[in-house]
Amino acid sequence: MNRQFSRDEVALLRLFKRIQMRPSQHFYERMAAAPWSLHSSPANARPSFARLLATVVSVAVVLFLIAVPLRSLAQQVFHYFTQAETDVIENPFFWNPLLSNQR
Amino acid sequence: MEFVSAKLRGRARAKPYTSEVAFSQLFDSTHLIVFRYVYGVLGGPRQEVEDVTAETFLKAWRARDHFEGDREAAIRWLLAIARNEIVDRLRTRQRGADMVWLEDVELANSDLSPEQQLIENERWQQLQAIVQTLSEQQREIIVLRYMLGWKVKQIAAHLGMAENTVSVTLRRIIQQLQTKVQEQQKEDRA
Repeated sequence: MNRQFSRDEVALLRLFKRIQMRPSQHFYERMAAAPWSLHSSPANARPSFARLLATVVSVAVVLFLIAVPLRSLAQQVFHYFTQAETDVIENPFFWNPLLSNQR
Repeated sequence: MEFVSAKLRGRARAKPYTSEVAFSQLFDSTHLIVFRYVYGVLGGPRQEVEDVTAETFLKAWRARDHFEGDREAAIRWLLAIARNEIVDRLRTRQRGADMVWLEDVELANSDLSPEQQLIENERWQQLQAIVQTLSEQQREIIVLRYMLGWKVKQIAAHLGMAENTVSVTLRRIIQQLQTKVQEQQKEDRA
């Protein structure tokens, strides 16, 4: 009796294994918009630490690359406007006391 | 510092599905179990089964802060939510508009011979007719045992029943199926 029962159970288990039960594509599309789905809405999207770090590093590199030529350009412009006041120009008619004594 | 991290670890174990990532993983690993359970207990149609499955996870998501336990406990929790949803649906379902249990599922081809597959297909139809006459709880026992592969002990614990009651129900259904098969064979011979 028990042996028959287990045989029948095995047969039933095999039968149930053949049942194809999977949700439709529509179900998965619906679930993709569920609140726990990470790509469902921007409000639910929480950037990971690694992604945040990568963004910060990229921004820093870009700023550095932009900053070096910009600084150089700014220095050149600054120098252009200030060179007349700071640069020393040799005066050929500078008064020399030794020369005037000889005369 | 150690105290804080130990406390955080304890909290993560106690309420493991509060974050989107953890709940998403729970959904990925359990949605087929919930879907099959709902299909088996509700009986169909597919659209309604999908609605109930989706509603089950949405309710679980809303109540995730109150859940504590491991994955096995989470499955039992999800099935309990699904069961409440099924009861509501069955209550509102029109009486007399009964449909055939699992009418819209298909049997996959197996490595059995065509003759054996034909016999199994007949057995499947007989089983559908038998399950149609069962109570919701008996149907749930069949689903948990044969569709989800649970052990009698697990089913009994989940349903709050004695193990013996579950075993007797299973035996009775199998006997009914055997009787049906024999009657069919007699009819075929005649």
